[in-house]
Amino acid sequence: MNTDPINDQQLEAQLSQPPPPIADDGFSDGVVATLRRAPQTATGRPGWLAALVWGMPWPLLAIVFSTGGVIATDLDWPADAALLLFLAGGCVLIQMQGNARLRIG
Amino acid sequence: MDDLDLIQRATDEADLDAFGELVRRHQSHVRHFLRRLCAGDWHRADDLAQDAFLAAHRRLHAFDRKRAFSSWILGIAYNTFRNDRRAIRPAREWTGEDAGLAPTHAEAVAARLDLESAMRRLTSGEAAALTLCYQNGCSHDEAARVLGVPLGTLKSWVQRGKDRLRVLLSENTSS
Repeated sequence: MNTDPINDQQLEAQLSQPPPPIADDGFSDGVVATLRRAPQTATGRPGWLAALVWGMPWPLLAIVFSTGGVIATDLDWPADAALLLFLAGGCVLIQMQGNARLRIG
Repeated sequence: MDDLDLIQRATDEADLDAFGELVRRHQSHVRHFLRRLCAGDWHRADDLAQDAFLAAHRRLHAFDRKRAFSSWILGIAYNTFRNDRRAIRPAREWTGEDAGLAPTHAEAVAARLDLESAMRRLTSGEAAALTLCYQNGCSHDEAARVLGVPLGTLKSWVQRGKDRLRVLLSENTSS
């Protein structure tokens, strides 16, 4: 069994021995490529407007844009166009928000 | 250009190439560290290393410039490992394959294989403490800060790890 115990110095010498370096076999390129694919979520510092939109739950976003649409129709603008614009903007933002969540996931 | 310059460029100018250079400089010791903790499952270790660098990039603006980047990234790597451990998969049987070891100096290689096998029998805390203190040259204080444990715990991990390694390596030698 344990006939030749290893002493502290021998153990520390083995532990301190530097391991052979691991070659960067595309590892760092992989990290950077991942960051380039999701720059907005990777930096963690989106602008305040993006943060507001990104962080807002989509039902709230829908309510905001629907309300905007209703208000717009009460004004003297071309009501239909304004409503359509608001709805289209809402759809785009919801889509962007969904994409951002997919990237985070 | 030193690490601090690269960090400054990566944060202030959102320069991904500068961050890539940081990854290139530190990937080897981060991957070594995680390979020790993952007990031979090198694919998992490399996945965790990538996650650690991505997390580091997200938190780079909060980096304390009085600290060494190498210690900071090892702390993130250790946290990444701990968070992932809940979904741990059984480690692959380690055969020394892909070890990247030079085939010369057969005795040194054999000793390292013995050490690596023995390391796999330690707890992750013991393996992390020994790797930081002996291979990465961290002081006990620094290693405790990296692992986020009290100094007393760190010292007991080092001592217990060494005691167990001594027994395991002696068994290997005598068999």
